Amino acid sequence: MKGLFRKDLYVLRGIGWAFILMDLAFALIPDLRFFAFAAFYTVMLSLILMQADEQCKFDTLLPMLPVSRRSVVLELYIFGWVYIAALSALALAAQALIWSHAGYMAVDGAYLMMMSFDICVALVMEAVVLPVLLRYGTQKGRLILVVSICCVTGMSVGIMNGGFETILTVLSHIRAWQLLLIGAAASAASVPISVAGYKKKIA
Amino acid sequence: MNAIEVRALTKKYPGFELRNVKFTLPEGCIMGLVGENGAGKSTLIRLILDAAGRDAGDVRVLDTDNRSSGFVKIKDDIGVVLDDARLPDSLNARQVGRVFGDIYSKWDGAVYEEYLKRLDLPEKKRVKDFSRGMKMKLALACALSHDARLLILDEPTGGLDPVVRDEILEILEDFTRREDRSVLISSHIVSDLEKLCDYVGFLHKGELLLFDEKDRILEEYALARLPEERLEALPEEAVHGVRRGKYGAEALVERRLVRPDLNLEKPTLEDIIVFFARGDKQ
Repeated sequence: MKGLFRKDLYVLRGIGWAFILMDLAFALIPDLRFFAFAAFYTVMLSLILMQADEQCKFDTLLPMLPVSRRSVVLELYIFGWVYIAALSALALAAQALIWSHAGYMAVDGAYLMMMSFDICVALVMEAVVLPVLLRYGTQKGRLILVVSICCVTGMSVGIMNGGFETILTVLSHIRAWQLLLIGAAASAASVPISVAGYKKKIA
Repeated sequence: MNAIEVRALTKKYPGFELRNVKFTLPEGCIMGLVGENGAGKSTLIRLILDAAGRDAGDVRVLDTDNRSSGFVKIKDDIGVVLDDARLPDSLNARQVGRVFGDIYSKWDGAVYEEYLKRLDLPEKKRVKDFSRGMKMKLALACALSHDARLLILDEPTGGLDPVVRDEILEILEDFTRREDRSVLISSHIVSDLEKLCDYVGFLHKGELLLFDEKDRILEEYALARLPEERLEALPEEAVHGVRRGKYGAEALVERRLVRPDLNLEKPTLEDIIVFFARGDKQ
């Protein structure tokens, strides 16, 4: 799995740097609504990485290498998790920087709550999209990705247009860790479906 | 020990079927798999490496059932080269080496570097900017840098110029100097296989029509040149193909089934394969 992880890092460095830069900018802007975009675009990562493999047909060589089917699938999930964790850490670090320079603390309970909500939605999106991408490939799987991004973007626009307070009210009944748990549960449920789908694709 | 054992292997696709393929490649031998486009060579290779599902049959590779959980570890001992190389093309050769170094437990970085130098491959140029020959050489360097016991190559020399082809064949000859190393190589270019192989398999429309030791095949079959009207005198079971021309006919026959006084010539492997493929019996 380490080899695949390294390969994906190189691929991102080679062809996905523009995407990373945009995502980093979203994460570093001191406004949670932009962090939401950054988190949701994490799902695009899987598409970029899988598309790169399909383009050079590395996806057909992969089942012949000493890497289990499960590792191939799990690596994509882990890559997404690590990426979203790094984005979150960067967003928090940016807030800390603002605090040290401007003298006001923007990270409060509501901030962390909203951030957990974004991460939860991103993980659920990933849990929905990855099984389709792994079973049907990026050509067919792209459709469901576009639909899910449209749904979440629409939701984000709704939040920007005044729904922010409503969301906070709804979220006030839930705790941040519960949201993260929901995201983690969605991922955990999605992994075996993806493994089964990937095995079926290879067969 | 056998390097590869294939028993009654069958795979059906819409419009194509790989039927009841069986052969055994002993350890330390080189097998050439010949067949026209669409004959099923790549499908057979995918099935041997468990990279495709099968409808029936069994495959054992390096004494391990390729459907067992232990086969992933066995793949550590197998080097694979596919047509087009199929390596991540946004990486350079050095990065490809690092990735494969993490994938194969017995990866030897020094051997890889040595191959890059020997094959004149730039370390920092992206794979997508390589020529086809360079890509194949890089794939070969990857396959040879983890002390593999079995090398499986699918059309490694197809579309390459004779100089690169010769270079690749030379490396394969070096690889098999050690007795425990085996090779399965598929190719259209029969002359390449004739130089290299101990065993030859001929796959035609999903069926393995011929599989035997190369020398035995060359001894067993012969070319009979004779006037067309004398073709009927040949026993039907002895004739595997006929080519009719202006000045007479040419038949591929089994030596032991024809009269010893018949004027016979030694065929090349290519002659035998062409006659089998055309199957133009009298």
